[in-house]
This record gives sequence, C-alpha cells and structure tokens, in this order.
Amino acid sequence: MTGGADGNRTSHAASSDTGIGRTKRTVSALLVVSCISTAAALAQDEAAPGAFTEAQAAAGRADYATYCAACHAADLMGVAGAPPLAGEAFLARWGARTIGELVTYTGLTMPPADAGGLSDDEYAAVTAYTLQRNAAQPGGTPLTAASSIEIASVAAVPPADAAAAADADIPLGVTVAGRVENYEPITAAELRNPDPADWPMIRRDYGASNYSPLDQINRANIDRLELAWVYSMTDRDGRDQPAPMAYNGVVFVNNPPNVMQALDGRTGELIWETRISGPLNYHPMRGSALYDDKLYVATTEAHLLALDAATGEIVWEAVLGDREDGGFTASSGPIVADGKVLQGMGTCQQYREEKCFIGAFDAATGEELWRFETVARDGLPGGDTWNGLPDIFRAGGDVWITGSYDPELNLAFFGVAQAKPWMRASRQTGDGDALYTTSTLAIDVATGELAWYFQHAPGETVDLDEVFERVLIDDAGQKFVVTIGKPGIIWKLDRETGQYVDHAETMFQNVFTSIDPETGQPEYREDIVGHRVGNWVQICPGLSGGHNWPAMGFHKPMRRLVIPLMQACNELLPLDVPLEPGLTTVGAGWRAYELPGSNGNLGRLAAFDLGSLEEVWSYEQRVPFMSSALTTAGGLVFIGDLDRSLKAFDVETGDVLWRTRLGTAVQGFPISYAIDGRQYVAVPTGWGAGAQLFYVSAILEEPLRVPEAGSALYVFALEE
Amino acid sequence: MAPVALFLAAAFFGAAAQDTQTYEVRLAAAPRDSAMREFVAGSGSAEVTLAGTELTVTGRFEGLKSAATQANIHLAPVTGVRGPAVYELEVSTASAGTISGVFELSDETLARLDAGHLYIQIDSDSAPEGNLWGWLLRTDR
Ligand code: HEC
Repeated sequence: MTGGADGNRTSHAASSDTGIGRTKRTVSALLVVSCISTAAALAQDEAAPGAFTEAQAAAGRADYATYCAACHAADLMGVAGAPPLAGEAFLARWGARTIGELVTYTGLTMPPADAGGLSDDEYAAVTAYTLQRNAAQPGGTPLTAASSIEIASVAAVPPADAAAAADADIPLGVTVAGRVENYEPITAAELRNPDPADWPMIRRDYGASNYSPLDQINRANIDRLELAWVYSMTDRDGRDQPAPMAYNGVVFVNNPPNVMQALDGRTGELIWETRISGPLNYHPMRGSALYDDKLYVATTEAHLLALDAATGEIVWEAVLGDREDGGFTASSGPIVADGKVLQGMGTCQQYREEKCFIGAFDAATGEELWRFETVARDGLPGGDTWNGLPDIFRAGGDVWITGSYDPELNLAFFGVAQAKPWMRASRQTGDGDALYTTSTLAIDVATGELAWYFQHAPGETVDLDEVFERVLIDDAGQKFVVTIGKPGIIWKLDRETGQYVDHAETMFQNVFTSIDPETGQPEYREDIVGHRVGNWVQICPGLSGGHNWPAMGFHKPMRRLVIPLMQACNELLPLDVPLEPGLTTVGAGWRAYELPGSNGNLGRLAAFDLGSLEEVWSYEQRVPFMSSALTTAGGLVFIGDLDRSLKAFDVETGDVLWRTRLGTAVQGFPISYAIDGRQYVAVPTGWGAGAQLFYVSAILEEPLRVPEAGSALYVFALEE
Repeated sequence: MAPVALFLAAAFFGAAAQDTQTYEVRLAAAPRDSAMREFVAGSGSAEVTLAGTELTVTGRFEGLKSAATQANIHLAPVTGVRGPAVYELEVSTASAGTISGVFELSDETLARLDAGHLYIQIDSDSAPEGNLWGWLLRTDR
C-alpha cells in the first residue's frame, strides 16, 4: 500500500462484502503509513527533514492570504466551490503525488484569473504554507518545483481535522437499522406511469417533467401552506444538491457525503440510514432511483450501488471508474430503464487512458451490460474530430446529469458536457468538433448503441456545455426532446430522429452570431474561435450558464416550460496546457460580470410556451435561484434561492403567491407527493451550491451570508 | 436630485422637437474574480441622452477602492465584450464623484449606439483595466 491518503480507497475497493461494518480509514492508520513512506522518501531523496523552510511557510502565509484565501478560505477548507487545500479530502487527492506536481499545478492554474501570475518563489511559498497547514514540519531544505517528495510522506490530516475525523469515524453500511413495513416493489409499469401520489425518480418521470399531478395545494389556498415537518441532513461534508424521491408514503433522500435515508413521509421519522462511503466529497450527489425492491445510488467516488429499499442494506456494488488517481466522480444519479441501471460519469478532465462513459448495469445483479464512451477514440466513429490528438489527451465529455427514457422507443437521452480543457487553444483540438461533447445522445437501451446524436455546438470552446435535463414531450403528434444548456438556448429536437426542430434564445447571448434555422448549427463569434492562449475572451452568458443543473419544470396542462436561469457573464483566459499524461485541468482562468441589461439581477425564472417557445412571463431578482422548478397541477411553481427564500409562483401569471425563508440556501430538487389524500411539498436546503455559483459569486458586492449549517428537508402541507 | 431635474428639463425643452433617446446606465464592477473585490469595487449610474446626434452623459459613482483616473465611452465589437475607448469623459479623480461629457456622434457611431455597442468605463488607480462599467442599451425594445 502506497500513498497513505489513498489507503481507504484501496481498502474500500477491496471490500467485497455488503458494506456492513466497513469503517473509514482511521487517522492512526494514515499516520503509520505516513511514517513508513517518510522514511522511504528520505532514503530516496536524501533530503534533510522537512520539505520546506520556516521562512518559506511564513512568506507563503502572506501570499496565501493575498492570492488564495478569497476562494480557498483562511482555514484552507474552501468556500463557494473552491476545494479544500487541507485535511482528508485534500490529501486523498494529492497525497500520492509529489510536492513538485503540486507546485506545478498551482503555477499553471492558480489563481484562476491570473494563472502563472505569481513568481516561482511565491508559488513555492504558498505550497510550503499549504503543506504546513497539513501538519508537515519545516526543515533546512527549501521547497522547489523540482521536489519529488511524495506529499503523503510529509503531510497528514492536521490535528483539528484529525480530531473531527476521529469523531466521525462512523462505520459504513447501515448506520440506522429499520424496515419500511410492507414495502411494495415498484414495477416497470409504475415507473412508466407513476401514481399521482408518488415521485419515484429524479424530476418525477421518465420524461423529466418535474410536474406533479397533485392539486390539493393550489393558487386559491396556498396562503394556508405550513410546515409539516423538517429533518436535518448531514452537514458540510460535501456539496448538497439532493433529489429526494417519494414512493408509497416513504421519502428517500440522499445527503452528502454519500448517505441515503428513508423517512416516513407523513411524520419525518427516520426509518433507515445507510452510509455508503466517507467524506471525499467535494462533488455533489444529485439523484437516486427506485426499481423493484431496490434503491440505486451512485457515489461521488464513481461507484454504483443497489440497496434494499426496505432496509437500506447494500445488495451490490459496481465500480464505474478508478478514483485512485484523483479521477472520476458520479454526481448525476442513475435512471432505471428496461431492467437496467443507467449511469453516467463526471470529472473527466484528466489526461488518462480511461474515458468517461454511460454504463448500463443489470438491476438485479450489478453486472455491467454495456458502456458507451462519450469521447470518440481514434479509429472509432467520430474519432477523426479531435484534430489527431492521441486518445489519452481527449478529455471531458462528462455526463453529470441524469438522463431520460422513452420506453416506447427504448431510447435513453443524455446530455454530454464540453471537451476539456475548455478552450480550443488550450486543448489543441483545432477546429475539430470533438465528438461527442456538448451533444444530446439517444442510446438504444437494449444494446448501448448510439441511435443518433445532435451536437449543439461543434468544437465547443468556452465551457458553455449542454449537459442538462432532456425533457421528453409529445405534442401535436410529434415526439420531442427539449433541452436548454449554458448558452440559454432552448432546443427542440425530434427524439425519434435527432432532427433539429426549433430553438429560442431565452436571454441576451453574444457567443453565437447566428443559428441556422434549418439545421440548428450555430456560428461562433469570430474572436471566440480565434482566441489565443493568454488573451481574455468575454462571453455572455458565462460559465455559470444561462441555465445550469437546476432543472426546468414542464407544466403539462398549460404547455409551459418554466426555466430557472442565471444572468451573468465571464471573461475567460485560455492557458497553455502541456500535454502531460495525468494532468487534470480545465485550463482557463476567469472573471465575472453582470449580464448587460440584467440590471444586476442574477436570478431569473421564466415561462415559455411549448409551441412557439415565446416567453410568457419572467421574474428577476438579485439572488440566484438554486433549485429546480417544481410545477404542480395546482397551478404553482415552487423554487428556492441562495438567500434562503422559497417562493411559490402562479404558473399562469408569474406572480409570487407565497414565500418563506428557510435555514440556508434552498437547493436541490423540490418534489411533491401525497399520503392518504394529503399533499406535501418537500424542499431541500444545503451547502456548497457548486460551480455555477462559484463562477458568478465575484459579482455580488458582498458575499451573501449563507449559513454553512442547515442542510435539511423541509416538508410543507396545507394546515389541517 | 437637482442636477438631474435640471438636466431632464434641459433635455425636454432643448430637444423636444428632435428625436430624443434616453439611456439609464447602471455602473457596476468590471470583470473581476473574488480576490479582485479588494480593488475592483463600487457602484454608480449615468443618464445618457441622445438628442439628434448629440450625446450627453451625466453620472455619479461611489465606493471605489482608489481614486478614479479616467472615464471613457468605449466602442465594443458587440454588447458585453471589451472595446477601445473612443470618447473621454470628465471624471472626479476620487473614489466617489461624477462623470460628464457631451459628444457629437457620427452616423456610424449612432448605429453602433443603437446596436448596444457603447459602454461607459471608469478606471481607477487600483483597477486600470476597468473599475466600473455599464452598457448603453435601449430599453424600449
Ligand atoms: C477565484 C477563486 C480561486 C482562487 C483565488 C484560487 N483558487 Fe485554487 N482553486 C479554485 C477552484 C475553482 C479550483 C478547482 C479547479 C478545478 O477543478 O479545475 C481550485 C483548485 C486548486 C487546487 C487543487 C485542489 C484539488 O483538490 O485538486 C490547488 C492546489 C489550488 N487551487 C491552490 C490555489 C492556490 C495556492 C491559490 C493562490 C495562489 C489559489 N488556489 C487561488 C479557485 C481558486
């Protein structure tokens, strides 16, 4: 076993049991490993004790405060989406790498808006300070970018963190035992046509409508809505964007870090809890899925698990991607189609041989049935669209949003994110399309074969990907798939053929100069495709996207798409990224500014007519919306924001009919369900909104006071 | 308040017969990251009136982290993208103050104004590449 901090990943992967009684790596184990490898490193390097000098750490402390603390925080634990630079999670990612690699990475990419802007001495100094904050001791040898000392050999979880980690040394597996009484396995027919009282998957149905047919809570009585119960979730161990489900009166909800809970939907009583893995969880865990007697969940470390839905016991576990090397995640959550669990992968920016894929796993056994790689390799269809880059340097194509499913066509629809690094100049793909990035994929669920693809922006080059929800709508005798991505453009495609049907811009954009009305192919602004390393490029909307993971709701009776939008721009700085296997970077720096004409309103919720795609109403506010838009047959739209407000809008007029304020940011996927004729609305709150906020937070004059504690599920109903 | 009222009155009487366009410009932070909040900060507003071919700018700003050094109207290739300075405004060289200027626009610049390609930018000691900026956009369409 090498690389102390990765020790628990090894033991985790090696454990083939049901997960019950597994424990997280203990701190003492880490320290033991550290000591051993320290000796090894010393022998190799013949370095004096200490990988940096006291003077370097002191200088680094000041540099850190000036250049890094705004994002990574004074305590190095990260704010607003920047990852922690100390503690367990940091060491898990960096422990097995060398100090030299850390200096080089930081010098290449940090601070994002001025990458490479510090002197070599300053980069060495901030790295020294980072190591010191990870319990490394100074010595007589100055730290340089040439250092081949393994980080885990000198660093460890700092004492305060170690204490917390020891406290949290909770066994994995079922942590609260219980049983859902008379659990009725959910059938394929029920998934196709959910009971109005249920919300059995992310966005409720295979078409991703985010629409509940319940109407007990409606426009006439919304003022009588009150809190039925609230349940606190695990706090601050990862970004929180949960998509709860409700089935037969039970609410299933995922908490960071990789914890599933079953709650009594009427009382909020905890029925069971299963802790799937430890806190290596800077990434969110968005959705989960139900089928038959099981609950499926993908973890932030790219494992896929089946739990017994009645008891939370782990039935099987499949490994999607190797996390040993700081790679892959799976934040999207699965969808079950035709007896198969379909799951996509995230964090695909590393230069490595393995590519991200969408996989199908046997729902009963976890056996892998097929996989479709989202990046086309040389020699395969689409493989000639990467400017001849060797396969190892074809990165990106993340699938970090759950797909949708058409049972009649037996096709699954997934969005694929952009190529990495973000910008053509950095990633060296020339004017190649870089298939299948920034595309809608229709995949035959029986075989895993590609039925068709539609690439929304060939050779995408400014991180404006199109990975988000695919909403399946039948209208006027045609089967559509509707989506909207970061450029804020609604796309309507024929989902049988992938033919372009229509599009509409929902907000000001300056990225495309035209979109062909026949084919839907966009033309980039000239200076965007002509960008050069080291020159800033301005784009509206920006990296946060006009639209991001907070999914739209499709109000079926009124044929309205109700879409959460974000109004912000970025300027981007393409970096020179060396083609080095193992390197992980998006390869760009960025700054943020208000979208012209938005009057400083970052948040917007707007409704569009399905037929004409014309805007019907629009509501703007300074604070970004951070949840999906839940629409209901009661004529309502529920949505929450960063500033803790939960609002209910009239879907017809856009008027705010009801509002309340919760414990922290309202984020994730609100749902509605009913038990014994009483309708409930369940709304998650949580921490660490994620990248889309991170990219725009600099716009706000003062960072908002968003409490870091307060992850919870709030459940509302009409007063009885 | 008084200067604004006066200004509006002047605009009304002076140019009522001509084609008059008014732009309310919000001046907000130029592109920055979180760390740059320390030196790229502040807010402001400007009223811009086009009477015939004459463009009149009056505005105010506050909250800069250092003294303003210059203010200009810039001509962008497209809305939201940086472009070169084309008209120099009067500006208080302080962290708060006013901007003003009157310019005769060519037909070409008039068309660019109409297309939303003009913006106001105030630079400061600590933010020489732009401290506050704001776009001249028609709100009537
Ligand atoms: C504007 C915000 C911002 C600033 C300022 C900033 N960072 Fe970062 N940093 C980030 C983000 C966001 C990431 C994640 C990047 C990614 O995933 O590509 C990151 C990643 C890192 C990582 C990799 C962490 C990991 O877990 O892999 C290191 C190391 C790092 N930053 C160091 C620094 C240092 C040192 C400075 C100061 C010189 C700095 N950063 C300044 C936002 C920032």
